[in-house]
Amino acid sequence: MADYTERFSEVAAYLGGIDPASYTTEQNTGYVSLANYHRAVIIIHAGVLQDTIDVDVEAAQDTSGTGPGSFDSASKDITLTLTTDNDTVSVIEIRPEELDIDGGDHCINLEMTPGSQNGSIFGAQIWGLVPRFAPVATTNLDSVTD
Amino acid sequence: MSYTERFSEVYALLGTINPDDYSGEQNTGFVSLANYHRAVIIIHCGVIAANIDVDIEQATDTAGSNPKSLDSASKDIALTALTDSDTVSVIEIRTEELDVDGGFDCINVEATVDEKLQVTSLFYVEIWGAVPRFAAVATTALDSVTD
Repeated sequence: MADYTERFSEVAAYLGGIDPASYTTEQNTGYVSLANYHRAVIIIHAGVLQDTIDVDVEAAQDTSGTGPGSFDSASKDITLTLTTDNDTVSVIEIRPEELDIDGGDHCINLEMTPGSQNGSIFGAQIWGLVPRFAPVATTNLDSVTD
Repeated sequence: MSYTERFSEVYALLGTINPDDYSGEQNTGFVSLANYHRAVIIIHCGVIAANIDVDIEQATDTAGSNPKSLDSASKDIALTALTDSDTVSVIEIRTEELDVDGGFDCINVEATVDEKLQVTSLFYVEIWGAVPRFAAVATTALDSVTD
């Protein structure tokens, strides 16, 4: 948001998320395309965690998940620890140039995996930022109040 | 936001209602917008079994002195049970919309789950300060920033 006159919802596109709930198994946002964004951010909002949560970002060549692979797992993956990371917000910064562009990757999926059968409450959002074309679509939002 | 800026350099997490199954009134607590030209409130719902009224309040300090509603006619939203489950809503704030002449520079998000049906609703709320007077903003409210 370079400009005071820009709404957040004009320059940040909600691409996908994991809706908040108590989860016991692997959850995925599904692959979303970053083709029209120069940056993206993943926001992970944890409630009460009953177990460790592994957070991985995966890359693919289309939104169907063709050619999936881990995306810079050494630097992008995080782990949320039960109790310690209760009621916290974590941010993962993405520059689409970090994807394997030469290999055709331009889509990402967020995968969050609880460590056991104990329910952990969390949600996540993927926002496309610095769009090629503004204002961005707000069709994935329930409402924008200005 | 330019390509060279991290989200976490120009958006500051100011307040939250953490994800949980709630009944009754929940508040972020008053947070100061004194160092931001804009703010955005993100409301992310899971399964909401009861209606939720979302109101924005303003005050003259973070202790909540002199609280009053902030433009309730245009800023308040109502989330409908089941219909608005698994959705994201955004409320845009320009800090000039506060009663600046009266010294109001803080806001609180109040989300009230209708208790009549004695059911709960799962949601979370985030207040992000945007277009900061001073960048890079503090990341102390974040658990981690992964770059």
